[in-house]
Amino acid sequence: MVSIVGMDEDDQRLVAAVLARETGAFERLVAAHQRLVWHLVHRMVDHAEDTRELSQEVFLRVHRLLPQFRFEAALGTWIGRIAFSIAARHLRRRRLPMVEPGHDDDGIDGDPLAQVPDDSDLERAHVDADTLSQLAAAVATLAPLPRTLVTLYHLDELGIPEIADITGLPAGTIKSHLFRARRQLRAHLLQLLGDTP
Amino acid sequence: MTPTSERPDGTLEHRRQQAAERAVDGAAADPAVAQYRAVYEAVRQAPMPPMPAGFAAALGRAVETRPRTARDERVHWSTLLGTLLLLALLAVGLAIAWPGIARQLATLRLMDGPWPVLVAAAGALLLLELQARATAARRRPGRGA
Repeated sequence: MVSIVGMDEDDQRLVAAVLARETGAFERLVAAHQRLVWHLVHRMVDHAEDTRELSQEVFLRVHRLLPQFRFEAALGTWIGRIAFSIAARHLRRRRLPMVEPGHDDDGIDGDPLAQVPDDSDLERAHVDADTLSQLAAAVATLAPLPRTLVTLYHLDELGIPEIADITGLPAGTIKSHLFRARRQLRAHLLQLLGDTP
Repeated sequence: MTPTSERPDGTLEHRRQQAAERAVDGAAADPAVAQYRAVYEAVRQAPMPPMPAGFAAALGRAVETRPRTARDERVHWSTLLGTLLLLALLAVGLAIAWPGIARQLATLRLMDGPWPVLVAAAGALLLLELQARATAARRRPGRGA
């Protein structure tokens, strides 16, 4: 789990060491936060080479802006914000939408995915490794923003408040995206299992 | 906006998703919970390109071998210039407005004011500000944790 909550004395020492230009300090900072940045950027841009370049850009900007960091947020949150803003700017420049066209934050009512049946017997159908692998691949079919949010929530195990801090989105909007993303994946799962959603 | 979890139609799903997260390693009695468990596992297993080997080390070397750049100098000087400009504007504003302010002050019976109280309050505020600055300076990186 990526720990980004609260003001951490280790973070303070690390930042102090980087600012004092101690050898190996910035490498330690990158190593501590590279997983979060990599996940976030890759889920946003979904392109291996862009992920590498943008992740580098994130950390170079972190290094440049570090003297201005005042510990008003956890270091991980601050780095996550930089990563999110750089990835979002990349998508804007390429004119790629972050959410599905017509997405409504409140759009639970009337959502066709709401018709996914609850009585499909998954235990009986048995999700084998192959099905799970196909479902995992389907994560890439989500729009960049919900794809990123489910990754931060489920893979990096961040809470809604931390994700809200990183993305600048209201908690309700994040929950809405999480709902829709998981329901979309659940519908996909039922299709894989041969049920009609 | 109302959070989705509080919506009547979202509450049941939210509970199932939460139950699925708790039941990742166990068997789920509710098929819908089992579906969400599969979704949860799929998200965790979704393909992710591996991070380049030595990513952190390469970045560390890149910034540590980088000399102080002209850009860094520009940022330093632009901050200083901005501060001086603000001070100059403040001085000019005061100079322009001073006759009016002086006239207003002249109409006040300043010497009859509660000066000891005001001076004491200002002194207290100054002390608080100095204390806050000292605390912030101690917290600032490079000056001890």
